[in-house]
Amino acid sequence: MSMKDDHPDQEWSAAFDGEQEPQALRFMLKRAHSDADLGKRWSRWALARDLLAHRQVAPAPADFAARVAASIAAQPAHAETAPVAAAGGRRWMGGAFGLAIAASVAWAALTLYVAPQNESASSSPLVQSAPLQSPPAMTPVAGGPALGQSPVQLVSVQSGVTPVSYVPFRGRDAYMVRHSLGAQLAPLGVVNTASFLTAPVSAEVSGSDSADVDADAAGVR
Amino acid sequence: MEARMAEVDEDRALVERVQAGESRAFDLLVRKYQHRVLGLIGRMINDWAEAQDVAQEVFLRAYRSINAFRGDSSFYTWLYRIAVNTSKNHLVSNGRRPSTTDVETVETEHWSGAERMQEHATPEHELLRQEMERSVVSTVEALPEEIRLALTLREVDGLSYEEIAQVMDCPIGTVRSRIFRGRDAVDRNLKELMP
Repeated sequence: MSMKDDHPDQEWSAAFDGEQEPQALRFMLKRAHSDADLGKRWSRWALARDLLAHRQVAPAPADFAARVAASIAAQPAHAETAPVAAAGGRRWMGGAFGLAIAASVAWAALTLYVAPQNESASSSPLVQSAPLQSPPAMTPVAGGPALGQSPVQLVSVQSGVTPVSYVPFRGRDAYMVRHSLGAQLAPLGVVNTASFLTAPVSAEVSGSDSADVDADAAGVR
Repeated sequence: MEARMAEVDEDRALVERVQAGESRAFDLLVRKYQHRVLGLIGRMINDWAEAQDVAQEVFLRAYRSINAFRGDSSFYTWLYRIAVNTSKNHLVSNGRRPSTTDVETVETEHWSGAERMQEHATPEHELLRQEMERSVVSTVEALPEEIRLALTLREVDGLSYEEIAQVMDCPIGTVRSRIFRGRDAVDRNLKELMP
């Protein structure tokens, strides 16, 4: 094997010792992903090091690392490792993001339910609203799923076009929307903004930081 | 002390890649420490199949908690604590009390109670381990002097490339090359036992 041929594996060996060039690691990780033999070699190098140092090791089965990778891949998305750089501002960002979502949802709900109302729609059980000028009426699609259980599509009575689908709000989102709508619809004389947000409050979408539980269980903190 | 610092820093780049969301880097950390973690757990749990399950759980927990790792100790020291705690929890949850002797024993990294390990491993497993050890040691002994010295200074004494370069009075690039050549020679023989 020539020195030129040796070069990539020499970099790999340096990376094993944490002595690689900083920019090289990213390329090497890509290479490791496409070349399974590199991972195996890394495993053998580690075993050789441990045996040379007379550490009490137990050679792992050939598929052990693959089993660990599979168990990691099978984890729920929320348990995945988040970039550590974002950790400092995560809570603040989470709150601000939640408020932004709630505000957007409230605006969308207003657009859908208030602006399109006319006299015929005002009798809809979905919302009671002050009459506005020339909006197309919206009604639930016949045969569609019931409100509060799954998405409801609204169809323009005049055009028959389906403009948007509506997903009932739950939990904290429903609470935020109710309050946003209450504040914005009150000047219009609307008092019952909650009637179309009848989905029960559920823990389904409540925030969870369960990824931290395992660290505590393992006693690593 | 400087050698120790080199050891602490060795996995930093990989850990940072994992913390940045690149799980491929974690696979390399698993491959690097799987044998040591299995050896450690095998000394606490007297069952090879169970030890593998617990080791898998250890790596999974380490992955989930990787953002809690701040680099105050080496990655392996951190992993080691997870392994000991997870093994203790496993024994307790199965109604088995962790033996004080076992826990004290595993605290010693270079524990020399090989006979105890032999009790826990299957005879075939232990024979394979002994054969691998013989292969590695005999290959290293047969290496040219400058390659053998560079490799052992790195693998046994834990010196950094810069420190080895100072000891051997040669450029770092030469150290890098010598270590790779030694490692590659060992690997070619070890590969026959562990494809």
